[in-house]
Order: sequence, then C-alpha cells, then structure tokens
Amino acid sequence: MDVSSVSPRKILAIGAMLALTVSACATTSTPSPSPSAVATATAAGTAAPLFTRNASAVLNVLYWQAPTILNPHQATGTKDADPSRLVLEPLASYDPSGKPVANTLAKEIPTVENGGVSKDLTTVTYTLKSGLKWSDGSPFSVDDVVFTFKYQSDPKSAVTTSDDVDGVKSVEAVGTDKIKVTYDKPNANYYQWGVYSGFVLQKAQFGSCIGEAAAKCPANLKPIGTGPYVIKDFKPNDNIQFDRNENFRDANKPYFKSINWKGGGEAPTAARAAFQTGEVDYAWNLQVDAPLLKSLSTASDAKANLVTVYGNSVERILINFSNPDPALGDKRAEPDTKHPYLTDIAVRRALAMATDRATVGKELYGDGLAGKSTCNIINGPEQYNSTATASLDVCKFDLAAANAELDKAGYVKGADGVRAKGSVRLEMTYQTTNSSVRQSTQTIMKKNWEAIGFKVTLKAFPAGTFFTNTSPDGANHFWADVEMYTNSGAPDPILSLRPTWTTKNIAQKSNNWQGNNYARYSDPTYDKLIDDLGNITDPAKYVDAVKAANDYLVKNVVIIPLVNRTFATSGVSKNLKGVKPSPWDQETYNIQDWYK
Amino acid sequence: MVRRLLIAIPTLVVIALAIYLMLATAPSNPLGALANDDRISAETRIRIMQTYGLDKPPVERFYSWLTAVMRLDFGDSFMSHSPVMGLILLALPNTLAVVGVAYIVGIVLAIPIGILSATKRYSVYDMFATAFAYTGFTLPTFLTGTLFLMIFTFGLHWLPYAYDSNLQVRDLASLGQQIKQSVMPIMVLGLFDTAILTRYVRAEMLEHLPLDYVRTARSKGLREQGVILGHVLRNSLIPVVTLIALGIPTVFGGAIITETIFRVPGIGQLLINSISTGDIPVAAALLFIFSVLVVAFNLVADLLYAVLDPRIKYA
Repeated sequence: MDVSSVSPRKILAIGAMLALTVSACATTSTPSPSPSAVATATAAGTAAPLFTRNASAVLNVLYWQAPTILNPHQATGTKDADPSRLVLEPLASYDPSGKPVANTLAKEIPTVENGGVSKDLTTVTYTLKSGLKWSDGSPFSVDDVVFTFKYQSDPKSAVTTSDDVDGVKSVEAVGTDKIKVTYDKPNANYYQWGVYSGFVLQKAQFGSCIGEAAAKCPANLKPIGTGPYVIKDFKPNDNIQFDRNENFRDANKPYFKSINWKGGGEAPTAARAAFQTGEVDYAWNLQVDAPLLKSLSTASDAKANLVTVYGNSVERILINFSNPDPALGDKRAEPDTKHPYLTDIAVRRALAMATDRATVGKELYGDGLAGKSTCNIINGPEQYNSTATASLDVCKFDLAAANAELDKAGYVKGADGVRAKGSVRLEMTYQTTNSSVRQSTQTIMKKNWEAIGFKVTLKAFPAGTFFTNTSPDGANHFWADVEMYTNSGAPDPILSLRPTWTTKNIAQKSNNWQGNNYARYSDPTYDKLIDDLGNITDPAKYVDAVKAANDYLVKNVVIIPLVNRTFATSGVSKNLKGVKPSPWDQETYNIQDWYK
Repeated sequence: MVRRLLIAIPTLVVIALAIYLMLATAPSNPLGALANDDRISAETRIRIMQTYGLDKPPVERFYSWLTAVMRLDFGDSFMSHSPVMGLILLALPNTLAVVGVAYIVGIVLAIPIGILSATKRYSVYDMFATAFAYTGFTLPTFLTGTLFLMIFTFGLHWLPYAYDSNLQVRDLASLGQQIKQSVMPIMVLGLFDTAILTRYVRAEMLEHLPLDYVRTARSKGLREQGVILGHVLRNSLIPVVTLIALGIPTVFGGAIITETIFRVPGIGQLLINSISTGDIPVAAALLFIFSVLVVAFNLVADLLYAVLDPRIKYA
C-alpha cells in the first residue's frame, strides 16, 4: 500500500502566551492501517443512561478570553471554536485515546474493515444517524453537509478552516443518508474532513452567506445547529446564554437546561473563581503560575478539581543541520549547506547531555500542572510512548559527560571559555517566541550550555512573526542555530514523523519555506524508516516502528524534546461529571455527556 | 466661538490619521491568534488578510475608513464580523453603570468632603480627608481592585467574581444584585475620582475664603452657611465644574484595568481586546469617538466657563 505524503498541514504551533496555543491543533487521524478506528461510543439504548434531562440545572462556564463569533469556520481561536461546538458539530470526534468516536452526526466510524474507507484510502463514506433534526425542528439532510463543504472550499468565504478541505476533491451525497468524501490522492489522514472538521452548517441559514457574503453574515453570531445546545443570546466580547436543544437526537441529553458561558478577564482570577468561589463549574485554560495553581487546586476547601490532559504537545529544541551564516547570502540555511558543528553528532550529544529538562519541567511547568519533562518526541496516544529512551545517555543531564564528549571530539576551550576546533567556534544563536516561560527556559539552557563551552546568544520574537513562513525571524527560515517551540501532533504519529524530518519536506527558499522540516535534516536511513512505517499493516508492528523512529531521532539528537505540555488545564467543579477532555479534539467535544 | 468650532475639525482629522496609522502599523494583527493555530496555512492567512482589505497600503485604507466614518459608518469588526457600532452599544451600558456611576459617586462625595476640609482647615477631619485623598490617588486601581476581589469575593464570598451584563434591574432584589456586582469596581474608581476632586474643591475654597467679598458677605450679617454655600462655593465651583466636564469623556472611554479585573464587559475591555487582537475597526472607532468627545467636552467646558463666570466672553 503506497500512501503518498500528507497534505502540508502545519503541525506547528504555540505563541506568546502558552495559553492561546493548545487546542484546535490536532485535526488528523489514527494510523491508516491499524484497525483502531472502531466506534467506541453511543451504545444507544442498551445501557441505562447515566442521567436524563434536568428541568432546571444551569452550567456555568468561564473562559477568560471572551468569544467574538460562533461560526467555527470564521473563528480565530479556541475562545470561539469551543463554544460553537455546542451548536455546530462535525460528523465525528476524536476521543481521549485518539480514536474517532461517533458521538455526533455519523452513525458509525468508517474504516477499511467495515468498507467505509476505500482500500486505496481515497474515499471515505459516512452514514448519518437517522432522524437527525436541526435545533429549529427542520430535518437535517445530506445537502447540508454537501453545502458546508462548498462553503468551506469557496476561497471567497475566507474560512479559517480551509486547510481541512485542502486536498479534498469532493464531498457528495450518496442517497439520503450517506456522505462520500473523496481525496485527490490516497490520504493516510483520511479522516481529515469529517472527524473534528467540517462543522456542518445549515444550508437554509447559510445559503446566502457563501463567498464574499460569508464575512458579514449575521448567522455567524447565531448559527442554528445540531448540537446539544442552542444559542439563546450572544453578546460578543462578553457572554453566551445557551438553552437546551429540545430537538437534540438523544432524548436523555443534554442534562443542563441552560448554560451561562462567561468570557473575559484574566487567568489568575479565573482560577480563583473556579477553586475558591464555587460559582464556576468549568473554567478553561488555567495555566497560571504553577505554585499558585498547585496551592489553589489542592486546598482542602477547593471547590473544583484541576483536570489536565496530555496529548502530544512537545516543547522541543530544533537543531539546524544547514548553515545559517548570513555571509552565505542567498544560500543561507539552504539544504545544500552544512552546519559547521551541529552536523557533528558529538556536539549534538553534548548539547543533549547538558539539557536539564527535569528542572525546566519542575520549575517552569509545575511538574505536571502545565507539563512534564520528556525525552520522547512522540508522547501520545499512550501506546506509542517509548520507554527505551529513558536509559539513553543523551536523555540524562550530565555536564561532566557532556564536557568529556566535546573533549573527545577535539573541541578545546579557549581563554574566554568557548570551545573551538580549528576555526570553528561553538557560538550559537538560540531563538524562540516571546513568552516568560520560554525566556526562563532559554536562561536555564544557556547557563548549562555555556558551562560546557558554548557561547549562546538568546533571541525571542513575537509569535506572529515567529510562526510566519515568510519571516526571516521565523521558525521556518530558521536563520539561527537552535530554536524552540511546541509542535502539537496528531493522533497518528506518522503525521508528525514524516513531515517534520524527512528529506522531501525540507523548508527552503524554493518552496517558500512551506515544508515542515525546518531543521533541514536529511537522512536516508530515517527516510526509509518512515517509508516502511507507512507500509505496515499490523497494529503491533506499527507501534514498534513508531517507537523505533522516535528512538532514532532522540538517540541521534536530531531533536531535543523538553516538555510534554498539557492539552487542557481546566478547573472542573467537584459536582460536575462526564468531563473527559480529548487532546485530539476540543474540550467541549462531549459536552452533551456532562451532568451533575 | 465659531472659530473654535472650525479649529476642531482639522484637529479631529489629524487625530484620526494618527490613530489609524498607529493601529495600522502596530505589531498586533488580526491574524495574530491564528498564527498559533496550526490548522491555518499561510495561503489561508493571506486570503483572510485580503478580505479584511489589509493588503492595501495604510494610507488608502485610512482614506476609505475616514470617508466611511464621515457617514457615521465604522465598519465591521474583524473578529465578530458584525458592525462595530453594535459592539460599542453592547458595551456602553455596562461602562456607564460602573464607570459612570463611579464618577457621579466621586462628584457627590468630593464636594462636601472638600468644603468641610477647607472650612475646617488643619482640623483632625481635614487631616483625615487629606490622608484619604492621597491614599486614593496614589493607590493604583490594579492594586485596590485586586485587593477588593481577593477580600470580598475569594475571601469572604460576599460578592460575585464577574459582572453579569444580562441582569436587568426590575425590582429590589435585582437592584440588590446590581449593587452587589458593581459595588467593587464603583468603589475602586470612585475612590480615585473622589480623591482627585476633593483636592480641587478644597484648594479652590481655600483660595476664595480669605477674599474681600467673603468678608463683605460676613459683615452684611449673613449666616456662615450662607456665606460658604452661597458665595464661596459658587465661585470655587467654576473651575471644578469645567474639570468635571473635561472628565466626562474618560467615563465613555471605560476603565481598562478595573473592567478587566472585575470582568465588566465594557468599553475598556472592548478597547484592550480589540487592540491586542488587531481588530482595527473596533479600536479605531473607539479611539476616534473618544477623541471627538474630548474635543467636544473641551468646547463644553469653555462654554460653561462663560456661563458660570460672566466676566469671561468668547469673541
């Protein structure tokens, strides 16, 4: 089975605020050949329900960033996308283990085994649940789904979700209850459009809002949906009042009569509101000072629990294999140049051994509150987490060993304490984005690296500049020696492993730095590992091969992983049940199952 | 007077240009939040920028913005895709209910405190009032605001952590709720306003008290109360009233810090959010309306001067 490369979706991220980053990242899939894609939820009618609709219960949600728009296709952040999910739904979602789950419009998850996914991975056919209705009582139809695709793929609609339709040839209706998604070419990421994407709009409401009319459409503020709640009142930059959708497909759900969704303020008081007042049932993204968060959440009279979930958001240090010397002019950091010392594995090993990730994880990420240190580049879903790296010397902080490594390789300390080998001095520029945590991390790294004979110059840029492919100060250009940011991976590790380090995906001038391999790492052995990985059909072997690729990158210090960051850091009232954030979807993907 | 009005027009055009160019060249951009979102490719960003018209040069954008503003059309928010005016009208009542009320509280308290301070100069009362005033304007609102929140909301659980803009005052119970949710920001802002105005009232009163006309009034046999309220206060209030008029635009400008701390969805929060997200139409509209108000209330203050003090005449 030859699966061609995934669309050049950026699996990149993270900004000035640790906060803004997280969700909205993983839009991708489970391993193509593994049979993991089995519908896991909706045992409709068989088991006794955990709850039934409550006549008066109110849910209080606090997002310290206020919502501004409720059409996910026009949304510019989690603050908008999360509340809109209560109303507008995709065909299916991703559960916490990274498996697609049919908790929305699709009756079951299409797989190769059940015939829903074609053997060549170009078409996926979803069967819709029967009797679906919009919240206004009108019947839901396949036309709505087809319309949504049309809306999304019209360039004039200028949707923020246009990457989801990238490489999608068509979305068509088959009969009255089936949706067929066809990709331009075989797509390993075959749930690209449909699972946690393609939030279905009502054709009747948005029919006149396609193309240039999309931006000024009043429906953007009050979309009609199929989700468990309806928008009663929305005040942009302030709050949303939701009522239960009386036409929701499950007669027992949702539990709450209404939701009071408050936005605005800042994170520290949001944390206090959740843990100390009991007035908030769900408080989003409480990534505040770790000691404060710890003391608030562990207080004996705390009204809420701290819920954190790990996905694969790894703060990492990239190593530049090309030469970023400005003297090279047009050739600067192009793939055919060679970094003067970072291509020497001894130097890279020394850097890795002088990396004190434990301190970074403990001091800056609160040892599990906002993240935990890791030496793996693939940290999730759980089964892919390699245990072999823990014992590697490059994963242990040992300055003496790092010094010895450089001594052995012939780098000699000069009078100024900086090592050199011939004319090559170990001077480096280390760039990242503006963020207090990142600058503190830089300080810790610099101290240790300078202790073993490097000279480190620190640089930081605004996130907007850093994550722009055309920016000379950006991660893509990588006109520095090392750089640091977070990549948020998809549930299927190959979608991170392939674009980020294979030769085909090197970012360079000729592709306008659009490739994801910013490190300009080119290694036939690794390319082969990944090609083979794409051809494995046995799930157990697939897991082993993913781990092997992870171990290969770590062992050869192609990358220095630092911290696996939490996907969600929420304050959840002790009375509130059913909250199960998925690192591969939105925090609100299962709000229909929340109850008290 | 007409001349003054005519000067106001070019002043506003220059201010508008300054505001717009500042916003247009600011580092924040409406796709800033998108920069952190890996689901959005560079092409998508460029396309969205084009729909916002951000691919055109700032001067061209300024021209079309200004001509629209002349027709009182402030355009649509980049973030909400809805008319800017609607967003402002949503936020304004909350600001008036908090910042406006605080301003009134400040005026109502400052005048009697100032009068008493001046007439009982150097008494224990005056010392207290002076100490209060200095405390009031030396303590920054982010400190008093946070302190209040820590004590009354998170400590004693007396007051709510956020301002509910959906609350409608219909009866005593809802009035009580309204007081509960707005008392802290009103106190924080009112403290500041009271402190400043008190000092002005006191200073003006002290300036007038030893004057001849006051002695004349006393020698006519007027009661002390009549002298103070009828003569000294009236004359002392002339600069105070203009000061109050000049302060009114700041009420409409909202209170960024206080509104953020107490989660009041007012003009201040709208402004700071629009600036940080690069929502240029919203930020430009707010700043422009604010400068119109400043210019307008300067004129009003001048007129008030003439009304209150017949000696002043404008050509």
